[in-house]
Amino acid sequence: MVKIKPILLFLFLFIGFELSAQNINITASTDSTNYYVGDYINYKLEIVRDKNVRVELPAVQDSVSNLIFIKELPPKSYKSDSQVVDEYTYVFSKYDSADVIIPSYAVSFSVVGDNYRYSTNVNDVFIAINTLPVDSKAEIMDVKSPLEISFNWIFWGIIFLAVLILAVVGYYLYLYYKKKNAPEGTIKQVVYVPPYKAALKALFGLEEKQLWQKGEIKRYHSEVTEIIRRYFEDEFKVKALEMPSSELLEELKKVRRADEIFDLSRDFFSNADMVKFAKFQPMPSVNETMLKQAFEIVNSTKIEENAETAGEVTNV
Amino acid sequence: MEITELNEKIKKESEFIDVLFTEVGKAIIGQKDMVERLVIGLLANGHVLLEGVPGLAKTLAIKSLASSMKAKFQRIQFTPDLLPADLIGTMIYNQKEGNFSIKKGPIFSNFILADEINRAPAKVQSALLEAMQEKQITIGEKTFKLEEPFLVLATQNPIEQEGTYPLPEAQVDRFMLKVKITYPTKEEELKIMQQNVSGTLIKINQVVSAEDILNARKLIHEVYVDEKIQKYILDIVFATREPAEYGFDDLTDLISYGASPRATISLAMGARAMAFIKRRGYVIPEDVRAICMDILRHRVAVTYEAEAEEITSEDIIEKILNRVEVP
Repeated sequence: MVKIKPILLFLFLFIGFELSAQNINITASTDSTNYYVGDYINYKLEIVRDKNVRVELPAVQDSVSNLIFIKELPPKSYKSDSQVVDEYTYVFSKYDSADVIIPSYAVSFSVVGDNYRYSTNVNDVFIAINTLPVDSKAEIMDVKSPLEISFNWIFWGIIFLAVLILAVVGYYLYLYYKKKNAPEGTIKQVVYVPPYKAALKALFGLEEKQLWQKGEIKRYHSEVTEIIRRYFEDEFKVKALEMPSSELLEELKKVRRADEIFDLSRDFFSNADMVKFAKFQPMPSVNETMLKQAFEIVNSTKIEENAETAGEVTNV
Repeated sequence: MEITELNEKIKKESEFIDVLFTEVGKAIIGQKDMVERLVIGLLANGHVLLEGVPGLAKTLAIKSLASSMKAKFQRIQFTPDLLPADLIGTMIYNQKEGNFSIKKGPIFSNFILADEINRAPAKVQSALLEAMQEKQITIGEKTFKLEEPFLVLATQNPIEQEGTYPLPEAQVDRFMLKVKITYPTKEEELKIMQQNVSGTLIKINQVVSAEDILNARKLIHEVYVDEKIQKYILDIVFATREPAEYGFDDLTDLISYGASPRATISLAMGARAMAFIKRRGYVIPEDVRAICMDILRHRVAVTYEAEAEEITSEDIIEKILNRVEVP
């Protein structure tokens, strides 16, 4: 009697394996087997599966490590009554000549209603990357010059407008803040007053105060000498306010009309120093003379072009 | 006293000044400022420190000044091994009588020439400076008042600092004036050469008595200093302390500390003495300015920053004098 039991077992196992293999079929291929360096290599995965089979694709760009991944094209899918065909295309490239085997890798899948996870291997693909053919007989060409980009009127027009707008906005902001921060009443017109005019005005002012007539003799002499010192400082650019009389007189020997100024000023300062520092009580005539001398010093030392005007002022 | 009356009195009492200058001038050719400052120190009762390189007649000037007066004069050469007892005196055991007796030192004189003061150690300097300030000396248990006029005229050499003991600021401050001596002019040096090679012995006559000096000192206290001059003095001194308040911002980082109130007093006294020398009974700004540098130069300390820029206290004082408004 033929032993039927082992035969049945063998058939069962064989039939079962065939069924499983028919659930899914994955084929890897490229659009060519020969490429030049830098060419795009379209690597396509075609998955033929039953409708109830779910495929979990690995990250193909990681699995294919010996090529440079460029991009992934949108997947395509075709359906029939019982089966589905999925097409995944990945673009790779390589910049060296070589014989390349795109390796095999595992793809997981599952069947609806079955908790078990299956896997199958994708076939490997052999391709050749070749160097560019060089025509050694052809004429040697120069290196190509850089590409010239034509002037982009629109782009530069926009940039120009943007800069112009920013400049205008900035200018108006500056004007706004300047106006906002400027304290009221700070704009004043500085009028240059010649030193002799300022001195004469001050001397008239001193005369009007009638200080010595009121008994303030020391103050009178201090003020009259200060006016003249300030005049010398402004007119002759000597540090008259910071110099004692003797030093000032020495300094005045160096300026224009030195002799005239020195003679006029010597008695003037000497008398004033006596009153200021030595409790000297001058006669009223001395006080009057001091003012006359002060006017004389200014009038006789002022700059030529202003002489006439100043003379009129003192004679008022 | 009225100012005219005071002027007359000062003219009369200060007659000896010209005689004194003439007498000192026999030995010292040129160096008028130095001699004038020595006399100011003498009249204002302020000690004088003379600084200058060797050979500028510092010692001779002091000796000549002392010789022209009827007063006791002692010269002490300061050396590193000098002891305070060599200066002020000490107690000596009398074997015969079996007790200690006091041996007074050379400091018991009217004029002391402390030659090269920075060569003696600090303890000797201190002994001298204490006597300068207190005008009295204590030996053992006994205290002795120093005879008036008592004036210390010290010299020091700005070079050869090795092996010297520079005077501390606090002690330098005790000197009313620090006078810097410069080289004589060519004409002056010619006269110095001719005078010295001729072999003629210069005899200085005693033309001034201690009494004259004491009388002059009393009179100097009467010299009138107007409020404006007092304010001017204060402005100068305060500008060394708080330059920023006077608008001298550039000096703030250059001054470590300014002049002391002792400087203010010295400035007022020095200006009075200067007015006296000029035969005036009142002080004018010129008197203050003339004496200012010698009174302030050792009392204004400069910062490291100033030292790095080679700015001296004299530069600072000059700037202040040129900027403070004169009354």
